[in-house]
Formats: sequence, C-alpha cells, structure tokens
Amino acid sequence: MGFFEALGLSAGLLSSWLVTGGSASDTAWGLTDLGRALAAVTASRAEFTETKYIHVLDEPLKLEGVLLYRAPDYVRKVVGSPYPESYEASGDKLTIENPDAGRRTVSLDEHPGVRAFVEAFRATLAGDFMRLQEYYAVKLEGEASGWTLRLRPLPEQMSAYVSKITIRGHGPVITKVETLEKNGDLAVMDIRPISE
Amino acid sequence: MISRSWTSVQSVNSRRLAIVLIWLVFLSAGLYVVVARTPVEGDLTAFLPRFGTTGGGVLLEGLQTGPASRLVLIALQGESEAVGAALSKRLADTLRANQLFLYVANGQSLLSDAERLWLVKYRYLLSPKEGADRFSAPALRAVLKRRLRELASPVSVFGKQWLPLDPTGEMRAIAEAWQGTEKAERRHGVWFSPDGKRALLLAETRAAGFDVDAQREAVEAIRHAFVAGRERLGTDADVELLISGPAVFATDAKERMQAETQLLAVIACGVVMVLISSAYRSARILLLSALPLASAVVMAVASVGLTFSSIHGITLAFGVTLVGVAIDYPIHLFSHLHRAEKVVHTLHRIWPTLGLGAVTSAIGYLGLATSDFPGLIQLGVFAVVGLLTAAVFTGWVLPALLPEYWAPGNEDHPSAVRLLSHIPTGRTMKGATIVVGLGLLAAMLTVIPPKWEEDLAALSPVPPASLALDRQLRSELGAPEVTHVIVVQDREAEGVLLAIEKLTPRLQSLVSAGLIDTFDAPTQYLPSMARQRARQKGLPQRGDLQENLLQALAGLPFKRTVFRPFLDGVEESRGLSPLGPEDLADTMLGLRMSSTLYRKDGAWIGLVLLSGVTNHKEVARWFSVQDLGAAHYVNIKVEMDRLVANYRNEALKRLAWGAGVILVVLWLGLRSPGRVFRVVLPVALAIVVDVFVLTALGKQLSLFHLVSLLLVVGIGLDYSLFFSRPDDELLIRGRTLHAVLVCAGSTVAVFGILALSEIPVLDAIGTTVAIGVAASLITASILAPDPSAVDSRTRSGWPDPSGVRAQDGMPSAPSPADDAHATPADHRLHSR
Repeated sequence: MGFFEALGLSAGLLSSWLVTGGSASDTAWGLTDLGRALAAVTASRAEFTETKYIHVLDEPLKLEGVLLYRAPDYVRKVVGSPYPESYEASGDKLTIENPDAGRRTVSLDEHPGVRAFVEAFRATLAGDFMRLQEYYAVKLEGEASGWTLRLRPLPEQMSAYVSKITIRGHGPVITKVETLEKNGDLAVMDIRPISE
Repeated sequence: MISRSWTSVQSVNSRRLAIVLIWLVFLSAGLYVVVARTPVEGDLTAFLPRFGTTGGGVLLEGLQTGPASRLVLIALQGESEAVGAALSKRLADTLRANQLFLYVANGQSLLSDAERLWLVKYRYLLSPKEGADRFSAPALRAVLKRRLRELASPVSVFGKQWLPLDPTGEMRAIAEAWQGTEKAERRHGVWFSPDGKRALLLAETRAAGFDVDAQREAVEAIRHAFVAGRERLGTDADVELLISGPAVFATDAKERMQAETQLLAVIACGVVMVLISSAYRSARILLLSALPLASAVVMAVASVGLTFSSIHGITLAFGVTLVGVAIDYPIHLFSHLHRAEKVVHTLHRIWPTLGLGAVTSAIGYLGLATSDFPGLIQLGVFAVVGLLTAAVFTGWVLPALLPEYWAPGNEDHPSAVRLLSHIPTGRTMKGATIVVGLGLLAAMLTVIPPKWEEDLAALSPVPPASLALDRQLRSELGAPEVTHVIVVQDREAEGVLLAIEKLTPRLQSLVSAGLIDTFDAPTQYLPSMARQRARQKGLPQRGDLQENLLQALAGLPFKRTVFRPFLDGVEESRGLSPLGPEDLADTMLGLRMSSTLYRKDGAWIGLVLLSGVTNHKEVARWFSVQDLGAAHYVNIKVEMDRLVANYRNEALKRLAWGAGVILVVLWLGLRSPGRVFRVVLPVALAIVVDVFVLTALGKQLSLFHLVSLLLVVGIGLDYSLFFSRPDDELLIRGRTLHAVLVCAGSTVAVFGILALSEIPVLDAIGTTVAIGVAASLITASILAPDPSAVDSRTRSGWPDPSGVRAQDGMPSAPSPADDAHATPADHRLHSR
C-alpha cells in the first residue's frame, strides 16, 4: 500500500469510526434497553443443565430439563433427569408436581421468599425490572451483545438464605443463571434456547 | 299553764334534736363505709349467670374466664393490602417488645428463633411419626433418598439447613400436624381476612382476663402502637384499628358504665328537681327532698359495701333510679301537708298507706335479691336498703326538720283538684278498662304471644355490636367453632391427656363413619408424658443408629460426617424429661393449646372440639351409648338453651312467689279481702298492658324483664293503695292525686332514662318499669273507688290515725290543743 493510499484508508476509517462512535455515545445501552429487548420476547423455550454444588454432598448434583416462559407471568421448570419434577408459576400460584407427592399448589402470597425466587426468573424474562427491583438490588454490566445482571436480595425476602443471583445473557436471551447461597452452596444453570 | 307548755315545747325540741343527731351519726357511719370500703368494680361476670357444676357448666365457665379471656383480637381495616401488611408487621414488633403482652401473633412466622430451637430439641418426643423400625437401615435409606431428591428442588434453599439435624423429617411432620388447625389466610406474609380488607393479629395479655385496669393498659398500648406505626410508615392511607376480646369488653364496659352513670345521675336529679320545683314551688321542699335521697343513696351504697366489699358499676347506674323511687315517700308527705294540720298528724294519717307501700315495693325488689345472678342480688340489696332508708327518714327525721305547722305555698293544689274531676271513674269506664285488659290478655294468649329471649348473649352486659365484631374477627382468624365438645376433667394434666388419647381411636371411627369431619384435641400438640416416654424408648442407641446410618448411606453421595448432629440429637432425646403443659406456657404452641387445655379451680380441663357435625341427633346418640370414662359430650347450643329456659322458669317461679307474699302482706295490712282485690286489680291490669306493649314493641322477654315486672307490682301498688283510700274529702283526694302524679312522674322519668342505656340489663329494667308504672297510674286512677259511693261504705279495716298510732309509739302524740280532728274549715281559722 502506498503512503497516500494508507492515509486515505486511515482517513476513511477514522471518519467512519467517528460517525459510528458518535452515534454510539448518543445512546448508552442500559436497563431500559435490556428491558425492552426482553419484553419483546413473549414466549420462549429452552433446555437447561443445572449443576448444584451442595456442601452436604461430596459430588455435585446434575439436573437436566426444559424451561418454558409465556408473558407476562407464566414460567415453568420441567426437570427430566435425574428426578422428574415440574415447578409451574402462574400469577400468584406455584404448582409443584412430582411422582412422590403428586400435585401440590401453594399461594406465592403466603411464601414471600419463594416468590422472590420465582421473580428472579419471571420478572427478568418479562423485562419488568420495576417488579424485579421490589425484591432485589439490581446492577447491570456489559452491553447488548453480552450483559450480566447482578441481583442481591433485599432484606426480608430471602437475604438470610441467598447471597446473590447472577444472570448472564446476550440480546434478549438468558444463557446462564448462578445462585450463590449464604451457606456456600452454588447452583449453576446453563440455558440453551430451543429455536422453533 | 305557760310553764307547762314551755317544757312541752322544750321536750319536743330536744326530741327533734335527738332524732337529727341520731340520723347524722348513721349517715356519717354510712359515709365512712362508702368512702373507705366500697370501691367501684366492673367485673362483667357478676351479671352473667352462675353455671353450676355439670359438664356443661364447667365448660361454659371456663370459656368465660379461662385463657381465652386473655386474648385480644386486633384488625387493621383499610383498602390497601400492602399498607395493612406493613402496619401489621410494625405493630406486632412494637407489641412484642412490650411487657404487657405474653405473645403477639400475626401470621408472620409460626415460631420465634428461640422457640424453633426449643422445638428442634424436643422433635423426637413431639413428632407424631411412629414405627418401631423407622430407624432401621432400609427405612433410613428410603428417607435419605427422598432428601436427596428434595435437594434437587429449587425450594430446598429454605429448608436444607435442617437436613443434618433432622433427616427423618420430624420437624416437617410436626408442622403439618399443627398446620391443619391454622385456618387464617395469609397475604404478604401476614394474616388477612378473606376479602383482604383486614390485617389480623392476636395478642395474649399477661394480666388476667377480667383485671380491668391492667386490660385497659394493654388496650391503650395497642392504640398507641398503632398510631405510632402509622406515623412512621408515613402513609395517609385510611387504616382503622378495630380491637375486640374480653379485655376490650371489660374496659369498654367500665368506661361506658361510668359515663352512663354520670349522665343518668345528672339527668335524673335534674328531672326530679324540676318536677319538685314545679309541683311545690318551694325552695325549702327542694332542699328537704334532697336529704332523704342523699341518705338513701349513702346507706344503700354502704350496705352493698358491707355485704359485697365493693360495688359494681352497673349497680351504681341502676341505683340512680332509686332517686326516682325513694323520692315517693317524702312526696306523699309534702303533698298532703296543709297549714291547718300539724305535720305529724298528716304523717300519722298517711303512714299506714305509706308503710304498706314501702313494704310491698321492698318485696318487689327482693325478687332481684334472691336471683342467681350475683349482680342482681347486689341491685336488690341496694334498692331495698335505699327504699327503707327513705321511708324511715320520711317518717322520723323529716318531721323533726319541719316546723310544727307547715305547708308549701300551693298547699291545696288547685290544679290537681281540677284534674280530679276530669278523671273518669264512673262504672262504665271501670268496666271498659277491665274489658280492655282482659282483651289484651286474651290476645297475648292466642294471637300475639310474648316472645322469649332464647339467646344467652342477650343477657350479657356487652352491647350486641361488640359481640358481632368479636364473632366475625374470630371466624376470620379461623378460631374453631365451639359447639360440639367433649369435656375431660382431671386433677392432673397428664390424666386429661391420657384420657383423650384413649378416646382418639373411637373418635377416628366417627370420622370414618362420616358423622364428623375432623376433631381438634390438645394431644395433637402435646402428647401425654406416657406417650413421650414410649417414643423415647423407641429411639435406638447411638451405636446401633450409627451402624444403620452407615449402611443406609452406602452408595449415596452424602458426606459421611454430615449427620453427626442427627446422631447427637437422637442420643440427647433419649435422656430428656417429657414435656408438660406448664413447659409450653409462653410459647406459640402454648397459645394454640390454651383454649383446649387449661387449669380451672385446681383441676385440669381438656376439650376435644368436633367439627363438621352433620347429624346432631346421631352423634348425640352415639355418645350416649359409649362409656367415655371421665369425659362427657356437651352440645353447647343445647346447654345454653337449657340454661336460658331454666332461668326463665326460675324467674317465673320467683314472680309467682313474690306476688303471693305481697298478697299476704296486703291482706295483713288491709284486713279485708275485698279491699285487697280492689287494690290488686289495677296493678294486675297494668302488668298485662306492660307485657303487651313490650311484645308489641318487638322486644323479646328475657329474665330481666320478668324480674322487673315484680318491681312494677311493688311500685304500682303504692299508687293503687293511695287511690283506694276511702277519703271523702275532695281536697285530700286532690292532694293524693298530686302526690301520686309527682311520684309517677319522677319514677317514669328516671326509669325511662334508664331504658336508653346500651347495657341490656338496664335497658330491660328501665323499659319494663317505665311502661308498667305509667300503666299503673292510669289503671289505679280509673279504678279508684267512686267518691259518691264512699259515704255508704264503712271504714272498716282502715285504722284510725289518732287512736291506734299513738299506741304504737309514733313520735308526738296529739297534744290536748289538737284534740278534736275538727273539720279543715275550723282549722283554717287557726292558721298563721
């Protein structure tokens, strides 16, 4: 490349960089943008693999299953292996089903701690950060192509049990949820969306 | 001559002085007793009937005074659930820190941290799980596998801390056994009414249920905490505080009684003062009428103080009516005074009638004094002593305070004399009155029968609105329906629990047969010590348990050292002493149990509550053929109804006896059956009218109404006796009418004011007596003997005042100057 060609190329690059850089600095990507992106997805299905590191066990527990979501307040975790189970949260009700105990429904109103847990998923999937902030102190890092939500439970909910919940994703898709408990137990859930 | 009359005047003066001094001595003694020894108290149970010692009686009494009486129900009413929940939490925290309260529950958490630790310690003794082999290796393996699955669940976050201590799940079993009985709905973590408008709390006070002052402090503390909490929340949402429970009833009752008594006293005195001023237009009479009233009240309170060592607030409120009745005696004297006649002679003339009237009224009040309600007995004593004091005062002290010849300005009461001619006393009117009376009686026996008050709650001094709120809050909190109950009594709590445990299998068969839904027994919370010891025996030795556990853990991913706390816990439980009810005293468990297992008068009482009874008769029959041992089956509703019917029959019996005694006294006083009949007839008719009007007003007759009828008889006879005197002298009949009108006016006014009271017992007495006395006045005046017929009638049976009375030793025998009771016309020549 000759000197002038290099200068022209770098000038072109520089100007294009200035243009794109300018428009990028006009809109800093934040919670509202993420919320909008997430809210745009009204239904989703995903497979998950959850690894639970529990301090009373000498090896981690591995679960596999499917996560379902439907706006505005339906989320369901169906565990396939090793112990089949289903947790369905719809509105104010949580329905738990397993072969041992059959089907049981509890009211989330009566168990605020469980509700907080459910909302960590549900409110995030709905992009409703107002609702999420009723239960957690929320910090967002990163950008649209790769973001991290750090949730710290507010007192009175489950702060006695859970230290923090970390949700990672890109765009409108959640890819990883980590739950760290006060007693040191850690649950890591890897999520792979199922494309229709 | 002069010296003789001088000494006679002197002796009269010294006698007067002596009388006044004696009276002052009695009055001071009475005042001393009142001030120093008669506190006012407000124990509500004084006006509830005594229940007796049957199973049902013991139970009802326990419900009134047992631990349930220390519970305060609190509701925060508002539109916003979130605000209600936040306020509920704040209020609960504030009250828990207050020493006045043993326990405060709002649904937030079943157990405090200390209690949870305590429960963990006793989990193996309390847990309902049983089975000799549940600590074997296969059983432990099954249980551990289940725990492993639970660890996979997201909700394990909240419960996994118990795993090392309690892998077999005793805590959960206990919680489930207790949970079944908690029926209140929870929202935002606290109890709420089903419609979400009321956040509910329950507080147990340290002080006994009917210690009114301490309960008032507790109620004040709640109100204060509510206001402070609302301010701190900074919300201007509309939240209202509702409080209910025996504490509140007692406090409210005391405040209400105080307020009512003061109001009643002021109005009654005011009305009577106005009546007397307009009737006599004399300041001296106004002052003089205050004296017998004051003496009557002082002596009445003093006598109650001496017999009961305190006086009840309701008695004081009722005692105000004494003002209207006791005033009758001085009024009779004042109305009959005329300047030409010595005061003492007037007194002699009317004394027989006055005395007889006082005695019959006192008998009427005795009907109260012999009842089954301690409070009514107090009312009776109060009234009888007050009446008799006023009568004695009128007879002895009043003449000593008046000059020898004296009368108020309008002594001839011209308006009364005019009125006399307007009263229809002709035969036709008399006949019509009797016919109307009989007609009303016939109507009541056939078409409009009087309705009896069936509900025991109507006899309670608590206003119905408060009782309704209480009932609603209790049902929202899920307090169990207490209708079908099995009562077990024993000297020891252990005996009660054992008896109930023996009964449990048979009750289970009732459930299987579908006769009842479920039952709530204290043994579900606290097993008998015998059973706890049996459970302890079933716990394995540490060595055995350790081996079984190791076998069970084979192949499972649990760390080997995790379950050391479990091993320690079982070992510790083998050596614990079993729990008794006293150990649970200040705990949530104790609170739950306290209404079904409690101590009363040195014995322990246990209740098993049956709910969902579909066929009452079938259940009753099943129980009647069972040998229940120390237990009896009680249907509360049936017991209450039986009680009410009992009291009604007692009241009717008392009414009959009282009437009989009065008849005898009348016959002794009047000596002529014909006269007795003429005196009694108007009163009988007045009673018929009274009951008819009460029924027509839609009132249901309670025993308080019945007892008041005897009062009506006593007072009505007063009027009837005076009207039936065969006085031929128009002026004297005019004075009689005047006296009776003023008497009736004051009595009806005062009892009428009482009828406005919210307290059912006072309302009943006030209404019945006001109507009855007014009716007596009318019937007595209509049925009074026709003056034109008097001349032909002899005065047989009517004692001669100047002759007989002097022999009886009444003060001041007529002096020679007065001898011939000449015609009033002559005396007027001598008037000053």
